[in-house]
Amino acid sequence: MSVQLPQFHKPPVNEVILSCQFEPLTSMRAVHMGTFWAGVRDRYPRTEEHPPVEPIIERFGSPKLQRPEVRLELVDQIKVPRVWMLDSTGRQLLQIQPDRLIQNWRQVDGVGEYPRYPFVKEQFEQSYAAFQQMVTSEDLGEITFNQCEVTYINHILPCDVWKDHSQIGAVFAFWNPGFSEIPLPLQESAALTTRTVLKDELGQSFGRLHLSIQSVFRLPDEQPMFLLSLTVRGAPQGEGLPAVLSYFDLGREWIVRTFATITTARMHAVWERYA
Amino acid sequence: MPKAVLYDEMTAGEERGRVGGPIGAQAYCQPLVPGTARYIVVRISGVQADLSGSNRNSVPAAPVAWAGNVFLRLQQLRSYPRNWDSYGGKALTTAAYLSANSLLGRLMFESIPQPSIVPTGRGGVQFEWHRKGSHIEVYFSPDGNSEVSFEDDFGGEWEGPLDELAYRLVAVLKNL
Repeated sequence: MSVQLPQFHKPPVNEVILSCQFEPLTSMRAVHMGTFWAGVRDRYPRTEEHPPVEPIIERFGSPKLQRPEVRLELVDQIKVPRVWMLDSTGRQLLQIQPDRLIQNWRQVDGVGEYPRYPFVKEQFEQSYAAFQQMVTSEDLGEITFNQCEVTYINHILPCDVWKDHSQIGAVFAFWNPGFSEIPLPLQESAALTTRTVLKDELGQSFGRLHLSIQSVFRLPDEQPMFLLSLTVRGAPQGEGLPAVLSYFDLGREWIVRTFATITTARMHAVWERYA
Repeated sequence: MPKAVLYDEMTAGEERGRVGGPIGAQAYCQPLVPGTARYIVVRISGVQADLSGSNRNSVPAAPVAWAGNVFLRLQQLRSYPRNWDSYGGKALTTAAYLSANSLLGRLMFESIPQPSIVPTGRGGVQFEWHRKGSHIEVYFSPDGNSEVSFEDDFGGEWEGPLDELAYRLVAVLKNL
């Protein structure tokens, strides 16, 4: 890919998530969360507990028949929770569980200017450094990364270009409202998901791009909105934190280019594209 | 040992860990060994057509009794400490665990005998069946790739990626 990325003064970004998954630290217990929190409490004074996110690995190969996925899990197993650590505004969120570290930036109640990717990445690096230190000092084992994930969630709100969901073709370039042999009624709602295998210059698969578009109504004002989610997930190409950070850069690049490709020039004008 | 296996279907597209819990769970089998409380939930998710379309018969009725034991064994291998075999052995990797679980999910609704579960020591695992002169092994490598190999006492043999040979594997296992 080329160097110059599309740039917007007012991107519709609502949330950015940088996540790394690693082999489970089997010795890690809930009390270690407290040890870790003590070190970052000044940045993240609030906490919440949530069920852990299940592990996921992107696999590549011949396309398989779509069949129901079967999962088994122990019901009475005591699991170490996923702990949310939030800053005072709630916009910076750090999530920890024995096999994941997730850094989120998000708007709260639609408020908060996107601080840009380098800032979120820097937050991730700081959080990881603190986590690594705790893992080492508590002798919890080595962190062996197995997947990285970059997600951008966009809230596309009505503007001069579109007013209701039937005008989806004004927002997304690939949606052709004129495609119809018969005069179909306009769409009341729409949902689309795609999955794309990403390959490097040598043709090797290195990740998968998950795209999701949903027509929704924002709460509490019930404005129509398109929810556009873009995720790139795959294994880091190398070992250690540098490989994870490189993967984030690559994933972000794919997401930004995909975003610019699938949305219309009219919307780019609304978001004030300048590159 | 699992006390019971609960079996439910999730709403299509629902993702574990991010959204709500099970819908309409029902008890599947009686306790295998009374007294030790261990419940395993089987969750099935998929595209809407798979779960509620006219091809609903693709969702089977009930898992085999050994499924819980194999699942617990995989869980156990995943939490092994480093050097568990005194030869530098590693715990089952996440990728191998998920791949093995995926095959378990596919086999557990077929009339198939229980496999032996053999850790490789390098983070992988093998499912093995040695019955009636047939020797079948499915190897899950630490990076999650899987290979199947078959041999029988009559000189028959074949092997290859599980993705390509899963249908053949199931057909052979049903005849053991």
